Amino acid sequence: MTSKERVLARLHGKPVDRIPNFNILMAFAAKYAGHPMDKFCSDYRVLVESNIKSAEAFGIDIMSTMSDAYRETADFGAKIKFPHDSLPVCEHLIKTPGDIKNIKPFKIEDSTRMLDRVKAIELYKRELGDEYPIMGWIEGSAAESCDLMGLTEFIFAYYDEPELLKELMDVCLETAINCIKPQVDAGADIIGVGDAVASVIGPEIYQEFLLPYERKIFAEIKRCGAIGRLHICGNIAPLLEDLKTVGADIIDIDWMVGFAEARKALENHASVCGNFDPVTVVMDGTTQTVADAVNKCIDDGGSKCFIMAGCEIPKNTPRENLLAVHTALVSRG
Amino acid sequence: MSEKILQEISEQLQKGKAKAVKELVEKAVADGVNVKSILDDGLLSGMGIIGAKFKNNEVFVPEVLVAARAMNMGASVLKPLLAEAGVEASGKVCLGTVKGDLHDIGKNLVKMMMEGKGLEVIDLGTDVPPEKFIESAKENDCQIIAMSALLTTTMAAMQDVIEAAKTAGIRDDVKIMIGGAPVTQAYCEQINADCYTPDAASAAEAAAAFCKA
Repeated sequence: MTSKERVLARLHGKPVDRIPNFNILMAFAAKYAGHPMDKFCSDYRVLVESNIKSAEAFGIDIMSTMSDAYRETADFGAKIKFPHDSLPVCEHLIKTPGDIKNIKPFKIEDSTRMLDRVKAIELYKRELGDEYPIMGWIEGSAAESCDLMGLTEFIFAYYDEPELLKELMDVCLETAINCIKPQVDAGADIIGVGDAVASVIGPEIYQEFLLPYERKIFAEIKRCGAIGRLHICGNIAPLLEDLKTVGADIIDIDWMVGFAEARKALENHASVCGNFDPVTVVMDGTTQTVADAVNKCIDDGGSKCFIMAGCEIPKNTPRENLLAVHTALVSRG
Repeated sequence: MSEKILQEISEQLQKGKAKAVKELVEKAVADGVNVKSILDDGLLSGMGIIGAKFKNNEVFVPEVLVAARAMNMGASVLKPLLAEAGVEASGKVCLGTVKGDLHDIGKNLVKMMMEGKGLEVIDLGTDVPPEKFIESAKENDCQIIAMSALLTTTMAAMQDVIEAAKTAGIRDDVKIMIGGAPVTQAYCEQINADCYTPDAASAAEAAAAFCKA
């Protein structure tokens, strides 16, 4: 099977030759391909080359366009710097709640960094055709609001200026929706949505303030004919019941959540994707700890699960440990 | 009488009612309640309850943030009075998110919880280079350097701070604490930090214990 056939079959609960390897590589891929992280983040050709080389070497089944959290933020107008071999550093564009009124939605064709992402998707498609599923990416409305103003400020605004904060969330939503179809048209099969803030705010604010926005994003992804994948870093155990209704096809589960518990809660609603510890198990562990963790996830995740570390594979992970994920998946068949 | 108002301060703080807390603290001062008691039995007591609830997943980050904001409002009334009475912080901590990492929520929570334990926290912000941690610790005579990292990519910078402390000759004078989503006890041992804590409340407890020792 090609990776794309494998992923589509798994998503629909059909037999596969091996369970898809969905590990998230960014800094690791750049290092493996011999590129500094700043180039990986700022030049789509470097990102694509790094990910293709890494996928071929480590049996990854997805071509990702993830690099850092600040693509939309920079395109909204925030100043961004790319320190050598490091993640970009981006200023908060909103310094006081009054600045929210100055933030306007943009379209991808008028952007810089999101357009770079579209170019990455087009290059993948030219290089790989239908061999791999290609994943575009957008930030969720709350995550993007936090990138623009800071998480602490976001939370204070929720209590002090909820209507103004809602205006910002609406602008971020409109922009996210503007950015979905162009990525699908360029060849993205999957659109990933990052909304990390969801794991720290608790279920009440999530239900009231974030979930309605996420539902609209996933409805648009579906309308465009793509697969929706939700990634929330951190402990989402208190949100599992709500996530049944979010509309994502694949929900990433970070390592601190029980994979069996997540599978049980989300069964019949979404595939779970995860979820061993990227640091303890993969970076600091051995090929045996990796194999054991992969096998446990397969046992716990059910017939539609995807396998990956709960979050990004660290840059300094030993190569043999990452390869051990692929080896374990192949031996399980 | 004083017990009632201290209880009210604690309760309003737990609800995040900053204005009410400030007013109650002003009233308590005007009524002649002992200033240290207002701090310990009103503000810090309320923050301690929120911290324990946060640790048990009974409340989440937003509730802690607004409670801490209320605590700071109350503390701003007490600060000059505490200085007059010669009450000092029980220790000094130099805190920041490591170089390359812009995440501040974990750091901010740790700051609030540590302040809730009566410690003075020098907040260096995010994307803090190793030399800034060292300079600040020396300048402010801190007993603790506390570092946060949210990304697997940036956690390696914690080791650079430890090396910088050794080079500057202050490694034996400060306790180095680390935390953040990807950080573990094993990583703490690997880089020879002094203490890893899995959450903000535990970090504050550990820091307070270091400063008492």
